[in-house]
Amino acid sequence: MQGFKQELNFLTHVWKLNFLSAMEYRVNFIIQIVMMILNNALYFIFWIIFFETFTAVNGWDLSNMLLLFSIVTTGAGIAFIFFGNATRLSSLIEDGQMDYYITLPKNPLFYSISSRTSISAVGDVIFGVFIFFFLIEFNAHKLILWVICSILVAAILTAYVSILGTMAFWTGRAQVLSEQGINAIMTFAMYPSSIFNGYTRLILFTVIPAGFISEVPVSLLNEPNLISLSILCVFTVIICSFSYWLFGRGLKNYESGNLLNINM
Amino acid sequence: MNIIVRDLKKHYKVKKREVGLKKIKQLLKPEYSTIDAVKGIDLQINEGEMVGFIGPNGAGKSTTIKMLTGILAPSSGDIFVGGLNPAKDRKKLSYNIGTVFGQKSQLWFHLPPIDTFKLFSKIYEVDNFEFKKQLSLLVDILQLEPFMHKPARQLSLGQRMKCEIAASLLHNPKLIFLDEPTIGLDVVAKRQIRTALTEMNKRENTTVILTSHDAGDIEAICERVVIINEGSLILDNPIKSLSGYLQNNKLLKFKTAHDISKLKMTAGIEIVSIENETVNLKVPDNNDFLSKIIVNLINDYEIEDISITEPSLEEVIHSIYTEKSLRGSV
Repeated sequence: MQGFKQELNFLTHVWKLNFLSAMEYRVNFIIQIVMMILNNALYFIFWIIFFETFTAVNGWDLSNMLLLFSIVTTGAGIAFIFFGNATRLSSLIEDGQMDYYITLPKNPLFYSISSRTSISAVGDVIFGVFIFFFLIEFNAHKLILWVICSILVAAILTAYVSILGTMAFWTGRAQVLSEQGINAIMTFAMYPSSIFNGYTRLILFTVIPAGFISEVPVSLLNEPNLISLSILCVFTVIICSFSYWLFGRGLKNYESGNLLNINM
Repeated sequence: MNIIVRDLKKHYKVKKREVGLKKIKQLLKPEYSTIDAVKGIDLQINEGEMVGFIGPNGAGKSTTIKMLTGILAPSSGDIFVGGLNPAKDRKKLSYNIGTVFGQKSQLWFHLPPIDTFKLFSKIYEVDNFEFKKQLSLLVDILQLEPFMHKPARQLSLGQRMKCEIAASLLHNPKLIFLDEPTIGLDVVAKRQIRTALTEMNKRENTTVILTSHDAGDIEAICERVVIINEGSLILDNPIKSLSGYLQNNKLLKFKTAHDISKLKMTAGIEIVSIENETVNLKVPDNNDFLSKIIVNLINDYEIEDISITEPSLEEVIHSIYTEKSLRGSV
């Protein structure tokens, strides 16, 4: 318990520094947040126009899209506010910047992925929270489930992005794989999952686990049930444990490097 | 904190580079070759020692240090740092060691160094009282006060490096590794860093392992020198004995506007360098011999300036690298 408290105390300090660092450039900070809110809003307008014409796609209507957007954007926002460096994990490994994290008495994976905050992710959270509180009818149960789902989505996304970055231990270079992998999961997650079937669904519940951050939480919020919640929790534990284990294995293959580096 | 290294090896697998059509074959079925970065090093360093690791670029110094700190896993061999295996007991070990890599910054670029120092106190779980005491000592020795509240991005290289060293010493490590800490620094900053390290060694008996291309650093800080070349340890001696490798020689330096290409070379004399009008000769340390050479030079050329000096540590090291040491094999 004492160890967990110290770890949390340390991570809180890191997150505070991330924000202080980002706030050094206030105008840039505000622009990035506003642009992300606009970006999400424009994307969502497309779906409003779409559902005005078609009403529903295989049972999915605008209310499902609202739930989907509120969970995915909030979850992604939480993931990249607290673990914004996960998207750069591959570069850290490729350029030998993991040296710094390895020589400190902290878990190199947690510290490296938490040592940067994505400012635009703040815009994601604001957008997701706005949709849930102002465009969705909710009660206390739904609110609690929404919070739980958003946190689980954040954990799944962080673990998934970390797994992609960790591949650099073996491939030497995995930045493109990371970028494409993130694009793939976000793209698949932001579409009505009812349009996918067959092998695509298999992929969306295995290699690119978009189904676990979109379809499962949305169905859970629509019809709360213990089975869906358990599935989501179990998958989160599995992917997080796998990510942690894979990083530990990869660290044994780490080759370091001599590129100049700085902590941004 | 002592270090014991036995038959330490590190090799890397690298893809073979091919040309022409073989490149396609290489894509489908890559072939690898092995590079031996460290080829069996044995070493023992006692607690409180200050040891300089030197060697040309790519000699294997940094790789060795990275294995000692747990950054790289050795291919084979044993390492015990304070009784711990760095690859297996990384976390335990890291509470007791500090690292400074001249090419890599630990400071948060957009924030003042004091924020990084506070973060480090959390990382190493240093008690608040101890942190303040140690910080005040380091601020004093390294004279950090004028700039420790300025964002790191606005600091000069010397200021930044002093802060890097302070960050690494904040938890009062028993052992500190420094890889090129004075690279690109001015003489004042170098001197302050050297003073800080010797001071910490005196006060806390901190073991210091330093790699540097600056012989001045080694001379000022280290009591012992380990020379690594092509992945092997070629010399491990007290620094005082190092100059003995060339003690049978002196450096004769003279300046002349004449063409010295036809300089009469007597046995035992060796041209070290010729730059502009200045010539450096390595000559045997024998009074009669030296007198004769000087007389000959004065007769043959119009000498503007002449001096005889002991070879510097840099020259000794150069001589050892190039295996021109006059005293047998190294």
